[in-house]
Amino acid sequence: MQTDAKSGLTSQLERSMRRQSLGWLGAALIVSMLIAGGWSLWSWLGPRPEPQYGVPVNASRPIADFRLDSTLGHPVALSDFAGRYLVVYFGYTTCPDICPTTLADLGKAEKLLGKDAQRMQMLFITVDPERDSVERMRDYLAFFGPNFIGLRGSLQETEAIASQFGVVYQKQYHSASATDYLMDHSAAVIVLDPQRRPLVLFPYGVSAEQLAGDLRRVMR
Amino acid sequence: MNITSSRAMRKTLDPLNSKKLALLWGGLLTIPLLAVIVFAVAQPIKVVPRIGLAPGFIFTDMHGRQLTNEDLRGQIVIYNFTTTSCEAPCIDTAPIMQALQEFVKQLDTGGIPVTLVTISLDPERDTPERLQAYARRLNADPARWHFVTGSPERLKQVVGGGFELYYTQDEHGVFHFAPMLAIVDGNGILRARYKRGLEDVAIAERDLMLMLEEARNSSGAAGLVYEAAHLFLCYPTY
Repeated sequence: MQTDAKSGLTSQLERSMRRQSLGWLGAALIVSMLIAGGWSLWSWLGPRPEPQYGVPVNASRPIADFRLDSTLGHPVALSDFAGRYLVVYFGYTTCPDICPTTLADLGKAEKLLGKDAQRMQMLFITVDPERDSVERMRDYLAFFGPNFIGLRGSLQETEAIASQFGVVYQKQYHSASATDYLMDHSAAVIVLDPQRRPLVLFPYGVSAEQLAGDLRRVMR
Repeated sequence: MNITSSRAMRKTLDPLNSKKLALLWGGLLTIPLLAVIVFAVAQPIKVVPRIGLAPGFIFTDMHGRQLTNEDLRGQIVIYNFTTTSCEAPCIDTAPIMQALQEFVKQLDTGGIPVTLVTISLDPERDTPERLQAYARRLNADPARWHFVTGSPERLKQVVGGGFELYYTQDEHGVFHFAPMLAIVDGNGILRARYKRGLEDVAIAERDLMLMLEEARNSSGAAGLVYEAAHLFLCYPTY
């Protein structure tokens, strides 16, 4: 009789302890689910990680769409790249120093990004459409990476598009010849989010590693 | 006796745990939620929205020199858009600019330059000489306040396209436009536009102070708090 009671007690104790440990296990599970859910909600809705080397823009107004002749052989519009981040750079092919350095850094950054690079597209918009033909841009861009797309508009189109990006440029003549000039131009690299909203601005002089690191941070 | 003691034991084990657990779960859920609500409602940190990239421009100032948006990087710039012949019914924003010039003069900006730029929409009549006379009339400090204009095409593109102020010129050459002021930050980001008129001075001053504060404080960990504050802003919709 007593042994029965004893064994009843032990089994009840065991059961309650099992229930207790199950309870804790459940709690731990729910807590970890809450943390995971919170973290993913935070990374989805919370503030986007700040770029460390670029300037956060996080604009609410998107860049107005435009369509220009491209090195792909057919005209392309910004909206053709819907769903991808756009890395936009204004320059020209006879640019002596700033453009090749920046393009080389961008090409290297794309390599460093590896698979993540598929989520973005590098665009080069010429500020010198009078001298830069599509063919010339294609040859030039091939030096820096396989995935650059060059865009070329009319003088008027280019000025209006550049202004949208806060980019200005002008000819600097060095001799009497009408074709012997340099282009003084804004040297910033502008990153747009998949909705074409300006996201980050990289001033001139940011290295390939820094570009890649910041791009990885802000592309989510 | 044995049965009652085991019951008592169960009572001490289970309810305690389930209460504790309920508290734990409740706390885990409500504390961050409350924090978010408090942050969103009380706005312990106020920020001025980032509307978009301010337009790029190359204009000519009242001395015939070039002024570009790149020259103004690193400075907070207050713009107004007008003509030197703006008279009623044209609503003149120059008095607002004068008030802001005085406000900025007395302000400790912590080393961040604050500049004023008046863009004339009428390059035909507003020659450099006329802009100079206009600046004198307004008591403009030449170190702080620029008066510029450009070709009609460029003005349309920068003022109409970039700042989104639409204006027309009638057959008598008179310009018609709504009064507007804009503030652009040191990174070339358009932060504010005011389209009402004189009552905007106080709002512009408040926004200017907030932008200076953000520019001074938003480095490092505080930057994340400022970014979070941007999340809870009611942005203008486009």
